[in-house]
Amino acid sequence: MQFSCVKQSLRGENSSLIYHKHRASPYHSTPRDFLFLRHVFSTNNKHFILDKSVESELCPRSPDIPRGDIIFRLMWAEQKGTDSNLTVLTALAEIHYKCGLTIEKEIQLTERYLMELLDFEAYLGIYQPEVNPYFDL
Amino acid sequence: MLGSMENSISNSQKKKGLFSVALEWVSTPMARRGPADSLFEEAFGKMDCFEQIIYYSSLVDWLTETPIARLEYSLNQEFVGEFRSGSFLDSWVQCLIEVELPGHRLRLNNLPVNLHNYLVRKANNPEKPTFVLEPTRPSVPSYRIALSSPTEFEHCFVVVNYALERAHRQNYAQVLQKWSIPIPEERLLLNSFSDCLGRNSTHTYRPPKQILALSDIEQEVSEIRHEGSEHGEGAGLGVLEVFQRMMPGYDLDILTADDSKAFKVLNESSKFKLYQSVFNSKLIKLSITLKYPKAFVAEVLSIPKELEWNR
Repeated sequence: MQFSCVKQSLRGENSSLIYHKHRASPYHSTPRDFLFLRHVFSTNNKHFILDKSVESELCPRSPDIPRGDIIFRLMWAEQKGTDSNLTVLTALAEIHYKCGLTIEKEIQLTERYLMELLDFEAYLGIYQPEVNPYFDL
Repeated sequence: MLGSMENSISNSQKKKGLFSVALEWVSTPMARRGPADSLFEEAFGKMDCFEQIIYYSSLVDWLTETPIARLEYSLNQEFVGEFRSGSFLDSWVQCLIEVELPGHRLRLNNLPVNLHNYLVRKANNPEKPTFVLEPTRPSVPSYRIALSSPTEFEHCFVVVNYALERAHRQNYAQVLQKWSIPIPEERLLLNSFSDCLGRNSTHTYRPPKQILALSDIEQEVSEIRHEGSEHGEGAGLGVLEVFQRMMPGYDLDILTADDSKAFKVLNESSKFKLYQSVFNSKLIKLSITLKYPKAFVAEVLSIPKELEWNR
């Protein structure tokens, strides 16, 4: 992933419109971007992050960057056993990259994407200075 | 053309629903349908895809005199069976199948199913006789309906097929009289459905891709909030409703269940486990254990903060 930003916040709804751009890779020679709605909610003692591609006038498709589709991506965090300091983080995703890849290549791309997304230590390194509650979980 | 139509009917109607046969036939290139009478072909050429199906199914009635054509049900029919809605991860539920005739309505455990949104076909289920209501529109879940015995299945299938066919015909009766008028929306949806034809596996079928407009979601969410506040239940209402609107046909509990039958392990280490869905190869699941509290993890991951990420 190369770039990420919020296009619109719907704070009262625990939702936001997010734009992701992936740089070119051996799998696709041009960058790919994604526009999706993120909805965050909490139920059954689990915290959920649900992403789904949407169309919006706030971020029209670029003629130069093919847009992939996140059919859905659901991430959830739940406590592991009785230890409140251990969390099992799970992501379930189906993503279409729209670059004419075989199913196997698309699966590999999704794997890499998820691995990077859930690389929490690296992610945390960027944010560690301040983590302000944003959503009302 | 009539000859090839007859062949098509005799070859495949016993296996599939009437509309599925019609869809399959319409999606066959003209050159492969056999020689056609020029006048008939000209008239047929004026119709769009959906109109061809209606016309075709009328001919099927006339050519085959199937029970569907002869039976004019007037009473409601009830069957006891099982149904499964939405995704492959859902489980079978015991249900009462009620077919309202001649209202052309179907209810599964009192859940109304709008037949205008569906086509029907038989499923390849070796365990129990099953048929599938395939959605022709986005945001509509599919339904699999199974019955205990082949006899009851055939009866139920004929009745549901009949109700569905009549429901469609009722909807498009005027279309038959106006061949030259296109129905852009229906044709568009039908094309996306016909893209799915030819897939024999009952597991790989997926409704047409659902890309929602943000404004729709915003509106629906605000409506849910509004309904909640009217009932005095506060702004917290609607968590699952929003999920269902974003992910129609999916059940949150089933998605998050640890179902080892639905996923096979692709890769495993001490830190993570990577799975692939048995039924949908593009569905990937990754599970990681972290040494942080869950609220912190969720908060950090969900923060939509601007960043430049070069790694």
